[in-house]
Amino acid sequence: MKVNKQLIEKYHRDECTPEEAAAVEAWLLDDESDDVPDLPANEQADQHKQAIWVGIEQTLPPENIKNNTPVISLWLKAGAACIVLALCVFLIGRSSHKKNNRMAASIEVDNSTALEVRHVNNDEYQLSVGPGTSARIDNREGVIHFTGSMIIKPQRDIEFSFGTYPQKETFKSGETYILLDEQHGDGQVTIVNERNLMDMPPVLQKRIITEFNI
Amino acid sequence: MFLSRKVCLIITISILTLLQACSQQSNKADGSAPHKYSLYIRLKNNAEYIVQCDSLTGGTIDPEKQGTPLDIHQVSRDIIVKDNFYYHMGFKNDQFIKYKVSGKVFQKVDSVAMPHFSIENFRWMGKDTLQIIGLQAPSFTQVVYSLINTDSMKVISTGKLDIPHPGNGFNNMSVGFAEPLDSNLVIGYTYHKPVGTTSYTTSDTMYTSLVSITSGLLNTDKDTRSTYPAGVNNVQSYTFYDEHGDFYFMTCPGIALGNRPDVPTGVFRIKKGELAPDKKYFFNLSASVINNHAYGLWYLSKGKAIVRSERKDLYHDLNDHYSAAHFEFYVLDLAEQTATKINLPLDKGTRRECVIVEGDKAYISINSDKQGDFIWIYDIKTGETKKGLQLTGHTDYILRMDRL
Repeated sequence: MKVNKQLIEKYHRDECTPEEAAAVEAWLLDDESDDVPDLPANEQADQHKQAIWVGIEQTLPPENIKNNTPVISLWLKAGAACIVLALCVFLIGRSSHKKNNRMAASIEVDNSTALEVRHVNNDEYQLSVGPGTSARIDNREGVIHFTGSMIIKPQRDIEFSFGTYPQKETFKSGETYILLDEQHGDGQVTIVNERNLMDMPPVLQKRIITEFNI
Repeated sequence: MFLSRKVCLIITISILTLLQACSQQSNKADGSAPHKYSLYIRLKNNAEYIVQCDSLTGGTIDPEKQGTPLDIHQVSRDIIVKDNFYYHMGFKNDQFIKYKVSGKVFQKVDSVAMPHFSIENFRWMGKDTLQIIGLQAPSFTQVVYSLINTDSMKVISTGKLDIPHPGNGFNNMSVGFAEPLDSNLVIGYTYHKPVGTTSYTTSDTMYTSLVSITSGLLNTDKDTRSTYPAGVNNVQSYTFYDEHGDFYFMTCPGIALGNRPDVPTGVFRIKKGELAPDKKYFFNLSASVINNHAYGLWYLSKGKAIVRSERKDLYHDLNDHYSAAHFEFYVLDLAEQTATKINLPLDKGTRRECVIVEGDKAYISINSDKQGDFIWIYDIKTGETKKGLQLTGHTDYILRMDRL
């Protein structure tokens, strides 16, 4: 349906049929459309433009007419700028927070003379350090040095190596892992998913269950 | 036209038959008709299911679709299964709980308080009478017993057993079996001591004591041919009686139990009516063609038993002992002291209750990396093996298999 001046006027008088109204609304919403309504032969577009601007000047304070951008766009831009700014602040803060946590998280726990488990929580994991255990966790390098037993519950998938043993071990988010210090003479620690506790030797099972109150 | 009508008829009948079969299965799942077997399954995502079925000889079961999900924070595979009920000691070692499968729910039926009781082994003394031997938690130095009526879930009697506490650097112990002899118990056990911060070792001596509940310790035999008698039998079987009433048990000094790999794994015998292992009988499995340590022993018949043995060359240490497929099965001739390998794929899982013997067939559950998760059928007479029931879907381990 061709949208012209008459149809638009009819739309404003609320006299359009549903089909006509739909066509006008589609035309109004279509920014890409170059379907400009035709003017009567005896009228010039420039004259109409000028008349419109004169009308606008009469209704707005002079300082608000420095350019032809609609006022609502200014508000939108300001709002968008605020959102972008807030997002930047949030992301920078979050990044800085994370960085600080990682940088500061070279954790040392000396629980070697204690009888109770000590708990260390941060954004990346929950760590339970067993009695008689001392541990140093270098989060930046992803290396754990410890003697004794620990339980780690990662908040996201993380990797650690242990002592001088080069192999990186992956700890998956949502799982719980039991760590026992070097028992093999080659620097490799024992890492067992809690669900496989029953496959561990009963002597170790009892000790872990009792120590960590599993 | 006639043919296509025929085909339609066949398809219709097949669908009706299938629907009927499904309907029967569904009724059984509601508990109206007990099943014959129970399988305890762990999936690759660590979820666990109980699957009940009537045949192990063929077909497929997807545990997620046909099984009953378990709350892994409430129950684990160290369960005792009998007459369609499941018995499990709560994780805090204080409540002995009775469960049953009710459709898609693993339902708690009853429980009995058993404070500070850590189970070492169990033995059915009658249809509804269960003897449990344990250690008093959290010290694990005092041997305790409990006799339970599993019908009423009441403790018939409970108390301490007069077994010497660990000493001289030993701080922990294991009790492998407690078999009745007249009104007393013949109890097999050993001691453990810590090594370093988290490791441990086991005494080179295995003890067998005759203990009276009322009169205390009556007799003790010491044996250094092997150590760590009979493991923990609510996870895996290690003992049996033969047709003559002689009692056989295996020792478990390997890294999965005793952590004394320098000591051989062997099978011992206590003759009917005797108080201690037969000094003339010792089947040294580590010195046989098995040439490794082993965990798990199941009696076939007529002096033959199945043993599940590890392959040291195929695993590294405790880190991969349960996840690497390295277990083999052998048939032992107990009199001749020979071992014959059964033709089966390599199995994984450090300790599993994985053999059911019925007539001249043994059903063996295997978790194979290459051939999948199957119940294999071993023909005792011919020695031949073939695949039976398959566990499909995301099955990772068939952790135990029990007759209901």
